[in-house]
Amino acid sequence: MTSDLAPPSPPGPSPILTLRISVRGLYDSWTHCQRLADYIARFVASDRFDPEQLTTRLSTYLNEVLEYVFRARPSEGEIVVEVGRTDEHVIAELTIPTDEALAQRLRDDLGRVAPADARARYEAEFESMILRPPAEVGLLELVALHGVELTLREGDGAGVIVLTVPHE
Amino acid sequence: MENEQPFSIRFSENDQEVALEGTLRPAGPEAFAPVRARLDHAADAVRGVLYLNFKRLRYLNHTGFLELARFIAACAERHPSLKLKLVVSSVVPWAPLRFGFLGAQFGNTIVEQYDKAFYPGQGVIENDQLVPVLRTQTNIVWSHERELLRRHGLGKRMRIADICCGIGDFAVLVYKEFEPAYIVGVDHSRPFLQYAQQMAREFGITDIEYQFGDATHLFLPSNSFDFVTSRLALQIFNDPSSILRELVRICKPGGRVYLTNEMTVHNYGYPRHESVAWTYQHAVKIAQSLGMDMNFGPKMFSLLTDMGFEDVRMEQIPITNNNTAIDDFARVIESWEEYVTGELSTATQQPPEVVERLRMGFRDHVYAIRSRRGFATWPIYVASGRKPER
Ligand SMILES: C[S@@+](CC[C@H](N)C(=O)[O-])C[C@H]1O[C@@H](n2cnc3c(N)ncnc32)[C@H](O)[C@@H]1O
Repeated sequence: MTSDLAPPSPPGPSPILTLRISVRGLYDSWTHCQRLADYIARFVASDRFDPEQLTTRLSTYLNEVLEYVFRARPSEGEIVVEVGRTDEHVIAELTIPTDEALAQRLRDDLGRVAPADARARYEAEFESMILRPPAEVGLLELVALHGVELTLREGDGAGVIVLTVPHE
Repeated sequence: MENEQPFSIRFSENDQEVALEGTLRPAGPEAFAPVRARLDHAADAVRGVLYLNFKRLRYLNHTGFLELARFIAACAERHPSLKLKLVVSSVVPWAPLRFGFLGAQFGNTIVEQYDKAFYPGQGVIENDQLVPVLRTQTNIVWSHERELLRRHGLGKRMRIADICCGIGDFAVLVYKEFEPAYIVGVDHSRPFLQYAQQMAREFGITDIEYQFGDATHLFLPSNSFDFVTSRLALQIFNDPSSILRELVRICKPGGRVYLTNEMTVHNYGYPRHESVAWTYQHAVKIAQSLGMDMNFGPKMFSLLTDMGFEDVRMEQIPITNNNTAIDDFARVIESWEEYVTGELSTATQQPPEVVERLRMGFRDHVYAIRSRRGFATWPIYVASGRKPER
């Protein structure tokens, strides 16, 4: 018997859950953001040591990203949330349907939350952000203060926001 | 925690304090406006310091955070001499990060992490030096407690909370013996909880939940446990009733709260009983200077009665060298010796001659345990009461 052995793929996160939410459904209510965030966080953290602490952190971060998506208002379609885990991280990927304008907006906003200068920027601009918060400010804070990593991956008519959270 | 907590905000003019609790995730400034109005009202009504109590605020979105920052900035202008003191808890993981940041940004704002040193003996008790002490204690107490727990109402498949669970070994024993529907242990020592986690993992146990938390501000839902335990813990707090109130809150009506505490001056060892007595009396004084009441045990009956518990039951676990494995009993006293002449004496700067005399008393207690003609005791007081159905 012969077989073409594919090179072993790098160990990806082991999947925990996938949720599909219609964009319209999300817009029904602002509180959907926190309901979703709490639900996902509780589910993912349930079998961990001290699930309450992890739930609080995950819900805090996911809620921030969902609120960002809520405000960015993709026009149609489905938002897909996939959450997986590696030994050290929980990784959440939010796939958002995009048109040209929204794709550009994601690029701009996520481009402004690079970890290297997030803290410095958050500190330097805090005073002005209080008065006029830029769209990405909630995301920036996650990176600047909470040690969360946020990146953007672009697909066909979709943007994927990837959130990487250390277990502890 | 299974319940979502709604948001609440309360102002106490008397304490000059605004307490914010639950979940605060406004969509924007309009949604925050009612909160802002309450904050402004409070800032107008007080002089000197306004306390903002965030101990029980579990969720805050970034919009809410910026709105709070706006309020602080506005305060600096409107009330230049007013200081804001933000009281935050390390149990809420984002809180020290965010509020610490605000403290650094604003000159009018001070941040106090209240559970860093919320009772005087904190550092001494949460230190992992205590691990061997707790382990050996649980080992010898369990042989008595296992039966006694039934008399105090613990049955199978109950929902159980062990508050101040230490290294979590009691929760493991209860788990095996009583097959609870749900059991959670809460403690405020990260080293202890890490130990608990490791032990549970080694024993292949996955359904005991351990939580980092503060017994005086639990994040567990009200009226949700059949049996709430807190063992050898009330005695180390300067305000035990603040914990007891929380134990009552989370207990179901008709459920029971179960406590154990010591009366350290009742520890006894014959023949060298004078030396033994001196050491325990002195240890009690040292503990007292750190805010602990190591003679708390017998006071539980009146405390539970006064708090309105029904069917209050109290008894003693009579640990003696006649009914307990001698080596284990001796090891417990030896670990006390180490802890009291080490940690505790250092923390309270005992002179060397006192440390020496303390040591002698422990050794004489051990002598009483091991000696063929000696008699030694370590009584533990146990009390429980039923929460009224209302
Ligand atoms: C003397 S030990 C008893 C531990 C355990 N119940 C046992 O019997 O082995 C007291 C415990 O209370 C914990 N503790 C102290 N302050 C606390 C607080 N505010 N909230 C929760 N636990 C606390 C300490 O970390 C310690 O584990």
